[in-house]
Amino acid sequence: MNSGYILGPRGFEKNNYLDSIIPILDNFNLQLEKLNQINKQKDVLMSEYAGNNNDVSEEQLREWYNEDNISMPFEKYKEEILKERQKKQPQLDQLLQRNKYEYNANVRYMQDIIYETSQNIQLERKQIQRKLDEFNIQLNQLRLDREKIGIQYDAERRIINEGMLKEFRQKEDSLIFEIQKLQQALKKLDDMHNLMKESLEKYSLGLRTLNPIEREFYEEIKKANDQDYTTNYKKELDEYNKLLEMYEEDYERFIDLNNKLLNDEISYEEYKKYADYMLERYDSLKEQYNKVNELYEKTKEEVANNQKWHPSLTEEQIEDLKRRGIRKPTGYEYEKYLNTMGLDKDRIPVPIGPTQVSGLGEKKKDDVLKIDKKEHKPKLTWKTAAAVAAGIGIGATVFFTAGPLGVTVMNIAAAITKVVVSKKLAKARAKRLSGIKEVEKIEIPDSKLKAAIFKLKQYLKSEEGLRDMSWLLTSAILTGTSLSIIDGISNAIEASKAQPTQTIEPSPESISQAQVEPTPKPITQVEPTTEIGIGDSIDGMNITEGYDTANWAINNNNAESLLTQYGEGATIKEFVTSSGEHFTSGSLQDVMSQTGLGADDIAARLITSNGGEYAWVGADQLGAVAETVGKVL
Amino acid sequence: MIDKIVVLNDKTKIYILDEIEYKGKRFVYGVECESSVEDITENYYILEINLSNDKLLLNDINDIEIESVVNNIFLSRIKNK
Repeated sequence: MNSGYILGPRGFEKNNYLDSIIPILDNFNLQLEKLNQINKQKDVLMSEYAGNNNDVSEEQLREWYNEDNISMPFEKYKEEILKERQKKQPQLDQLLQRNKYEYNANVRYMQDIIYETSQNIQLERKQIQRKLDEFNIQLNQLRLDREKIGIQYDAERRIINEGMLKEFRQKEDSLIFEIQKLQQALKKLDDMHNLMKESLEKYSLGLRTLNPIEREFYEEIKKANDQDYTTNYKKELDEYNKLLEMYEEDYERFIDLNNKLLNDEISYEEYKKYADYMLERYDSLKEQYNKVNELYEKTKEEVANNQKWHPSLTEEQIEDLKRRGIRKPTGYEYEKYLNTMGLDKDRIPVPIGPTQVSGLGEKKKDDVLKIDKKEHKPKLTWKTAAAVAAGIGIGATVFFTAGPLGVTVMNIAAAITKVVVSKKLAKARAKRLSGIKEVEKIEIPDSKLKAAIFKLKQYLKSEEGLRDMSWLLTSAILTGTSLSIIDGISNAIEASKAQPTQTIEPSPESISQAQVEPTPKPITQVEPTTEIGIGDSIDGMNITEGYDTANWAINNNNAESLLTQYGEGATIKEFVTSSGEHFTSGSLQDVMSQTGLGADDIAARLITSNGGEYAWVGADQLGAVAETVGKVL
Repeated sequence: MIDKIVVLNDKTKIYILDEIEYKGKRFVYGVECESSVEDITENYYILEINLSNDKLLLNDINDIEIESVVNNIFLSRIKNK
């Protein structure tokens, strides 16, 4: 870093962006050295004439008396020395006075240099930042082009050749290298900036003045600046911050509702209710903010009123200032006046007072009122209906079989008389983008993110992860449908129970000719009589709760245990394990010991007393009584 | 663009876990990243990539059959990867 070399794709190279920065830094260091030397001389001088009222101790005199081998008696020597020191006193005062002004002049000179250097640094910084932005844009464009060509070739059934890939990689590497060089230069500028800040603090006029009265003055101001003025109105401020946090959270949700309204997912009435609520909240938040702001202004004024005039000013001078219009020891005119008097130039310590409270954005209020007043009604089409039916209660696979769409789907759904959706579905729902979005940038993830992704990949490879993911991705089909559609489906399922061969015809006004496909392609072949029931362990899941409507199922309301629905007068027909084995006799214990599986990987198939309906129940739901095939509950 | 982060024009960041081609179209499966904390969220996306007017566009899959096929393909690849 010091030598300005950096490792690139072709070995060590000199960082050309440092060429303009290094002279600035060297110059600054030189000036700093000079000032340090001047101040050292002053310190030496001060230590020789230590203080105004520092009498020499008797011991010190004894030492000098012995060292210099004085001939006269000690008492006489003592008298002489003290007389000399008294003679020197006015000279000493003058010397101290002169030194003080010299010190001040040095500090002012230091501040000028710092100011000039900081200007140069700002200019350099702007140029480097501009170049950095340009290179970042180029890099991003290169990456986007790479993907675009990939997609184009996909459509044309072509393969990108090795030479093209190599070219991309080389261009990318050289751009990254330029960016690294610029970042190194930026870092150097930041280091310089920190060095300047440190030297500014070191040379501040705060407590290094010699006058004890001035020292007291500065200490008082420092104490005032360290004070926390917000204790005056802490309660109101805390309340405001809490309200603001809650408002911002609700505002995020409000934006989601906004999008849903535009996508016809909720009704305008629902939206308007929430919008009115948000407006109320905004008003109360504004009220609280005004309260806090009032207190802040009051405190600020108090602090300004309690400020004292500079101790070196006489009463006449203060009267003069007041006549001129400078009534308080604050403000630009007052500072200018002090400068003309040769007092502290840029470092006049002024009590800071309380920091201002962050305000409310006016924009947020306007956004609430922006939506047009239109009637939004959800549409029921055969596509959405089938999607919902297919997605309900089933893990990863979606059932579409050959035949008029809707028949076999409904049959399978009919077997699931209670629609079953587990809590995992509600928790981890795959999201939709809600609108076409453009890819602006392609970035490489950093190490922290890579670690998180690695963990995720490990989790996905496990059984639990795969199961979770299958629920997630299927639920993507469910989102975007309105709840009233699901009610309709639920009713259709109930109706088809009585007449299993009834088909659900798509209503003629909801589809157009182009949409109807004669036979949808089978994705997974499923027999209409496949035993999919409650309690079946699909993907290792044990389903034992049911809901009366799909609506409730999706929102996890009013869950009922299926055992109570089907348990009375039911017989156990067989046990089935998650590994697919059937046991038509024996007890649960036998099954568990034979397969080595736990009760939550085993389901029991129940038949009602008339032998008709059947249901599956998870084995861990069975009471101790009913654990053998053939037993009556 | 597997194992890269895609930044959309509304500042959403999605880490691409997998990418397939099906019926001449390209689909990706990714997880949303939180830029302020540099961590992943629990939001997963299955999206389609298009090239239009020299712009890369991401969109939800609107055809249910294709969506179900693509879902299954991604799921099977998770297990085998």
